[in-house]
Amino acid sequence: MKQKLLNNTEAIAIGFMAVLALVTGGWNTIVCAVIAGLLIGLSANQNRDGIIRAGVLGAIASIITAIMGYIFNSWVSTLPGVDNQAPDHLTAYPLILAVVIGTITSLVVAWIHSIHEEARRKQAFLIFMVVCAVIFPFFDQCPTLAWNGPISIANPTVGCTTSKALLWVNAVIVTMIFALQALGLNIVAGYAGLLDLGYVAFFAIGAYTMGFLNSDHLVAQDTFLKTQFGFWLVVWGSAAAAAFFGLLLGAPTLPLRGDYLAIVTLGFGEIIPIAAKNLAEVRIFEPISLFINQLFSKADAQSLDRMQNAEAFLKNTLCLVGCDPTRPFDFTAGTKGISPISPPVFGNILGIPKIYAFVNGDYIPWYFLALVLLAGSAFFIFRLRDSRVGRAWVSMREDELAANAMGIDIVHTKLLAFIIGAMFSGFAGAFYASYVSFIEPGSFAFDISVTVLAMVILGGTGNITGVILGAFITRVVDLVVLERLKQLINGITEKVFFSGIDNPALVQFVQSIADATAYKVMLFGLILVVMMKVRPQGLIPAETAAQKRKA
Amino acid sequence: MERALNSPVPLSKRFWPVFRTIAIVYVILLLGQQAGLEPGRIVREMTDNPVIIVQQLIVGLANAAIITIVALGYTMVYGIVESINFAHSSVFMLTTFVALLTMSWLVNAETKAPLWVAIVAFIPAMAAGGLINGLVERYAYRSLRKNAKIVGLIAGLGMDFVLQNIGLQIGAFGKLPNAYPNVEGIKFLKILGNQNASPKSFPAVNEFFSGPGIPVNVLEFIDPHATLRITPADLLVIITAVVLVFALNWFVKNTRSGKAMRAVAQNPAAASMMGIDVDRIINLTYVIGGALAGAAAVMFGVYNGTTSSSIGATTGLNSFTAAVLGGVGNIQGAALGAVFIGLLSSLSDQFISSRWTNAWVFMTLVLVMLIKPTGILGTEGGEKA
Repeated sequence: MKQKLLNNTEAIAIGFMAVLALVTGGWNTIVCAVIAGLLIGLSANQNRDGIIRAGVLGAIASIITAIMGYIFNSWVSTLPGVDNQAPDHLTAYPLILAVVIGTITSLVVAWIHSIHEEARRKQAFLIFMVVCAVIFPFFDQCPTLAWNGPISIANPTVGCTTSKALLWVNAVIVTMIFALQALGLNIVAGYAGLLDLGYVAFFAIGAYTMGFLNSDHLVAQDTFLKTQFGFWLVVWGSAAAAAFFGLLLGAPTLPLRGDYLAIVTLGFGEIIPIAAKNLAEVRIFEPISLFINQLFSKADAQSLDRMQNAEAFLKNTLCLVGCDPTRPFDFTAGTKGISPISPPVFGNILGIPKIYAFVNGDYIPWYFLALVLLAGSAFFIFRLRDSRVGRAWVSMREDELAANAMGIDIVHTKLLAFIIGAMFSGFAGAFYASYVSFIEPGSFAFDISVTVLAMVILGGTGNITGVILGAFITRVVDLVVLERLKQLINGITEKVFFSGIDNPALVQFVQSIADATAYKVMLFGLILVVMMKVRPQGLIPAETAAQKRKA
Repeated sequence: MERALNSPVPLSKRFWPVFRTIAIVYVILLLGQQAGLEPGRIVREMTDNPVIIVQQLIVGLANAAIITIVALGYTMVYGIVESINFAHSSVFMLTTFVALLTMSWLVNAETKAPLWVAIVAFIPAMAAGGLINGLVERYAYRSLRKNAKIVGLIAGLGMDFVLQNIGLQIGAFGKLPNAYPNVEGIKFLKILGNQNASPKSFPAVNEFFSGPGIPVNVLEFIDPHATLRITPADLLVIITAVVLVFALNWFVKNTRSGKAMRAVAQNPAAASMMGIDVDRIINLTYVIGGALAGAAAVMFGVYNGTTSSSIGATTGLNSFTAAVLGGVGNIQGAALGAVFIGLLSSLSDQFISSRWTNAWVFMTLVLVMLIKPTGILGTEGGEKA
């Protein structure tokens, strides 16, 4: 059999990483080379030739990436409007390092891949991934450390002086939050085969629970609960709240046909931001006394402060929540948003002194917290999949009729998947709220549902590794590539095409048509359509029961 | 057996359903007042000024007319392929832009338009709707029809995003006339404004009627001091909807293609054996659905006066709710459901709370699915398109 020069995975890996290096450049070239090397190593054959081939290919890929990085450093970064990360005196080092580290990565991964015993191979992979994940944030800080000058007693404040240099670590933390969501949606869509289009609603519920119970917002309210409950307690509350709403929504609609669920969840996703916007002034009266009172008096319960006979109205009506005539109960703070939401704290509870408190903007501790949460969730879902419930999900997805005949209660099993999925989304929402420290209705728009669905579909429905990979690709495209591409195109249009033309309105028009970030939704839509047509099982497909039996 | 005879149902058990219903209603009233559900105030406002109720009924009917036509697209497609066309709401949104640009072009970017402009705009809008929906069916859905249902749904969703994004980017062309202010041919693009996502105003067809001799209020012909108000736009929208519903009903019942559609809806395999080209008939259904969305777009533009790339979601949810409420796959059912949803939203805007109207429509959808998932006129797996 004639072997092709490159298989699809390798070609895509090299091409994608080369583009990424072209638009980010500088030290990011190393990251791109490492990822390219990683993917090439993964696709290598399980024999000695495979390692050598992977080494050569990895070297080639790293050199291509480095060349792209060089183009960025020497040309792209000079275009107007492009963020330049590479300081002039350091342009050569990252490129050389990229070639070396990229090649080594592909060799190491190919070597791990060549281990024949499956258990040991998996272990080695795990160790490798953990090492990479732990090194990564420190490596990400390299550029800032380097160009602040050498560490000395006179210059001890070495660290991130600009947020620009932390292009990756912030993006990776947000990506991990999204990956957490995608893992949850994977249970709903991948295991149980349900289409949940309002997934962001549960994310919002989790975030608002965190915002409400773990910030000064509740302290400022007129209630007896004048306290912040702390991240570690509220995060479970957020998951529980999201799960409760999942039950409320899923119980009536899950027994119906699948596409009705899609529409109902879509509607729910639209309603939750409306509710978040409008629940800033809450007043609740006892309905019967309210009914009698309103029949005869001209009182709008929601605008008591603008009413003349508010005192008399309040006296006759049994008020339950928000009874102060001048100040109704503020539940979500409306469009203002809740801020600041407290970050997690270790200790400082039950008499234990405060050990460590997270600080917003100090990324590295957050990175490790997110990593631990993501790894824990992935482990939990791995175990869940192999449990009785998990096997029920998989068998239900493959043949609902047969599963039913084997005694699986379809509706209950689906409902359980829906609730657990919602719970994960709420969990992610709680972490997100604490991480960004500010939430408002606008941050829970429909496009989050789209992004998360695209992650699951792209990576591989029903496969945890695939979903995490999908989350990383999608998010990196969203946060880094599109933004950089926009800068690049704008820079080129300004410098090359319109350098001699004095027509600012025309330039503005062309730039808004060629704005890459404006095509984000279209890109994700195309991902969905193309994946469905070409590879509906995703990049890394799930093992079916039949394959498992064979193995 | 004996035990069942000897022990009657205990009192507590007999009253349990009643008690449960009361509890649910009480909780809805308790929480619903935040979303404007205050029965006392509503009853008082209604009795204080009954004319407003009638006025809102007219507004509701006009809304219902638009919802009906969009809902027909959902219901026909669902009837024939048993799957939601997620892209439908975006096709509707795109055709509002087609209607907007056509009208702007015909009146050369003026802010007023005579009635014939609105009527002419039906042609390109319907053609564009049919074309887009037909292409989406041909290239996105057709090859996926034999796969699992979720595959088709996800592809439809993807197409929805693609079309939505196109709608958003059409708005960017409003900046072009600034670059070439002296070129007459592109002047009509000015109607798109300078912001992609901001609402775009249609040329006002209504103002044409306020010319000499033609009152804005049709009722002033009969009674010069009428308190009720029926605008020519109301009439145009309602009449168009009625004509379209009857035309579609006639088409489905009497023409060859219509009969083929019903046959495919009932049993595609048998229809195929009878010599019906199933692919062609399904495509035709999508084309007709898209053309109806185009017609609804002109009605929407004339009636509401603005459009933007985000109108698809609300109209889509309303229309789909109407289709489900009436019984999916049923033309008269869609009209009936639309009347209910239209009246609900206009009355909710006036008496409950305009900010929460979408939430109440959504509540209706969930309740319908809970109580009667087959809809008012639908039967289990029964009558279709």
